[in-house]
Amino acid sequence: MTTSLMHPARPVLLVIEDGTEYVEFARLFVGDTFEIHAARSAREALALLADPGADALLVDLRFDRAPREDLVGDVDATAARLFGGDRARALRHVQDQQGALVLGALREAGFPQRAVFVHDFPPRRLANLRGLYGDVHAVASFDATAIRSALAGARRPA
Amino acid sequence: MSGTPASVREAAALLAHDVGKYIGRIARNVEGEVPPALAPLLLRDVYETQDGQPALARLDALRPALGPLAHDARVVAARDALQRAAALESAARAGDPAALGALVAIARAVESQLRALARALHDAGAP
Repeated sequence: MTTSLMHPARPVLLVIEDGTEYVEFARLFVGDTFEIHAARSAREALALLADPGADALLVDLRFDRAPREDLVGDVDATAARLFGGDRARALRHVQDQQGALVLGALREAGFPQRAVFVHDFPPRRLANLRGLYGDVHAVASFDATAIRSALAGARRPA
Repeated sequence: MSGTPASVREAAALLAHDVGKYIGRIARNVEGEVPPALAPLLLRDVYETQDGQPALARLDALRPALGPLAHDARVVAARDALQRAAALESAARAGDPAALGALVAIARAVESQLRALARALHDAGAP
């Protein structure tokens, strides 16, 4: 039996973003440790987590370049609930928080892999994300050493 | 790109994200001389950040939404640093090691200043 039939030679890091900055970064700075896969939406991430799977997630938070139809989150409901019906503000909110909404969709689908955000979350917000989504880490900047550390030991569920 | 920020806090968060976070992407991870393989990426982070516009242009686009904080020392320092980066563009694009090294220092400083501003406004409960 070869390794490739069961798992890739290296653990897989699934990068989820609406641009290319994260995946470029990941290939440069953690590509020696992880095989890098990329998804641009929750739909693509779900497909890649189903096959071939991933050991960890590197997730962008803000998706302001994604097509509206690719976004997770109900803009009308958000407008009504949080912004007094202001749909423009609600769309911005959905874009600004898209990474967390995508992670919610992945958790709902049963994927508990470690998620790392590159974002300076206030401690309470990070605690809230961990309460909602389990194994969540945040690194304040594109600090490769800190991101490596946050990803260390992450493995897909058995 | 999203529309006009609805609050000072949102504008500061956008600055920290669109300018600070991306300008530091390569610079944060370079020690000593910038390796030739990373130089084009560093140049892109500074001069074509996100939608292809220079970090300075993005800062200038967001700055009015900061209201009185447009003149905050951190914003002014970040803008001054980005103007220095603009002045270095020809030399940096030509691969001059000193110019590339200066860009690294500028990018790190801008990232720190804008992140500190966003964090301070959040911690102060600014609207």
